[in-house]
Amino acid sequence: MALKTAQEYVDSLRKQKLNIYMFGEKVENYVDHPIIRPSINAMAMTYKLAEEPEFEDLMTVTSSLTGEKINRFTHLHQSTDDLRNKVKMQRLLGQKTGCCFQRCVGMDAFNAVYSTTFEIDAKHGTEYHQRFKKFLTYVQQNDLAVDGCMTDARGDRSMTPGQQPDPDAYLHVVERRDDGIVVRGCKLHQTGMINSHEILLMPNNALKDDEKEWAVCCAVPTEAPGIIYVYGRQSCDTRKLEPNKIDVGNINFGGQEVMTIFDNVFVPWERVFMDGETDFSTMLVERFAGYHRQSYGGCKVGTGDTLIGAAKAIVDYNGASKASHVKDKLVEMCHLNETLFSCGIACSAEGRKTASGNYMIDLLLANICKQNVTRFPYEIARIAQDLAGGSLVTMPSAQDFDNPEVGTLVKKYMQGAGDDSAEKRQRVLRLIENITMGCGAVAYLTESMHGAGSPQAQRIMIARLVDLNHRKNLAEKLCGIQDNTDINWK
Amino acid sequence: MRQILLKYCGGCNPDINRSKVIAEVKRSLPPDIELVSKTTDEIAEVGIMMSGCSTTCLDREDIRKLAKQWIVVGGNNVNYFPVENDQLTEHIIKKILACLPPTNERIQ
Repeated sequence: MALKTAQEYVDSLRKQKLNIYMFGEKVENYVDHPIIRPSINAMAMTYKLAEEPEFEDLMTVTSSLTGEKINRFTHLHQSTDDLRNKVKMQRLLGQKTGCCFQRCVGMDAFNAVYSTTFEIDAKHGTEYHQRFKKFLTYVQQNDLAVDGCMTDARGDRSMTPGQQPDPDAYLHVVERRDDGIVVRGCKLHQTGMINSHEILLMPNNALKDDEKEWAVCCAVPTEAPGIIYVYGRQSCDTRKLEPNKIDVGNINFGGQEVMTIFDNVFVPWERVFMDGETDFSTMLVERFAGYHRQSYGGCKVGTGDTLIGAAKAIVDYNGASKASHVKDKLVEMCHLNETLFSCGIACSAEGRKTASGNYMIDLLLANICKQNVTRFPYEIARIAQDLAGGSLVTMPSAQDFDNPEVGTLVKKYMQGAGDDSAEKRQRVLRLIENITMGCGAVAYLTESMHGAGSPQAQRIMIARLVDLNHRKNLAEKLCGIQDNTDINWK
Repeated sequence: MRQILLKYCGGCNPDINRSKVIAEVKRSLPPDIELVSKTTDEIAEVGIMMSGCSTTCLDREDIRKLAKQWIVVGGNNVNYFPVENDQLTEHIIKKILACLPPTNERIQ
């Protein structure tokens, strides 16, 4: 069975026994928790669309490992077409959920670990690649959701893992046994973690030769003993606990982030894909980051589509849609959003084959993509707030709309263009609020800033990947500082 | 004289100086090996795809059929494995000699 239905996916989560804390209390039934459920719904959409004939061309693909039909989220990219389709799939999911749907990070980790383990084995004679293929085959055949897990707690940012006063600041191997290893540490910002079946752990950064215990890549089930999850707060999160859901804005979907503590977690050798090969930590981190920076050229664009749609709706409901400056602002939102998509498509089209056979994005263009993602969603959100007007932040609560004494008056004075515009304005303003400053802003704005690496991380990569001297030579030839040997005609 | 087919990509945005690298390779090759860019009806024994960046856009079917074996250079990658910039020439020469061993070794 290579494809799960959305219902089978949700049911599979019910069987997991996870050690989750929220608001200082242990969560017993996390699947039905009103704060968590929207994020499960978002992940479930990655399964639902794969069932639909009108979306299966993007959502499913033939496995390079088994030849079976699988969900693209578990796929190893076999061509630049695959890379482009990945971005298109992510845009589609962003449109359907209006939030982070959380499954990309696993797909990006698969592709990075696949090619890196191949190259580790070629140099060191290890057997990580075969182990990883076996693990990924299991993932594909059971259509599992996997959390690609990289960002450590990192303690004092001026110090490397080996220099930290607390070695647990970066997840590391604390014991090697005959049957496997034991790891300890903490991974932050884990989007979708508790909605996943498996965790694929990777090192956080470049490592020195003597920092072997931190050079670890391995897979563990989310319910492995010793793992503790502490749910992250989001702006306006407790609105999800209120009986009337209108004030949530995005009624059914949402993202999540979880602090994940690995308190001496055992990993059998067959699930260890790197153990001490510090010379490959940079490659793994850069490849994972590159794929994930490409991802943002799809998922954020999809969410951007929903925000543009919300902006169009509110100007219609306000009766402002004919004003020329309003039309121009909507055009600007589209221009920015499609520019991000162009970057995602470009770094895919210029992708390349790796030695292992799967395809990797163009690293420079993926970093350009993500650099733009750190900026454009903020501008798109600013314009959306401009078009929304002040009611975005002053509108009464849903309970006031329903109150028998003031409700009628609230609706009367919230009415815009059209008799039914009060509730429409209420709903769409809450959606804009959600995406630009509420729960949805976590993914659309701050995650755009810091997810897959903060802006400076991309600038470091751009500086490394662009050959400035080549460009200097071009200029010097044009202005005569260098002889232009290209000209051989009279 | 043993010949190696040399194909360049279009060179739109190279990460490496392709001509310079090839000039260095030529200088280091045994005297009985030459690099030729002109294709003939005959399928070459060995070819070098000289792509300026990792996209390696030369690696396509119509090029592949021009030689039996290929050394694929894509920016700082040789046969899709990353190589340090200052070791690129050395890696290409090693690959050439692996495909076309020095004449006396071939006799042994």
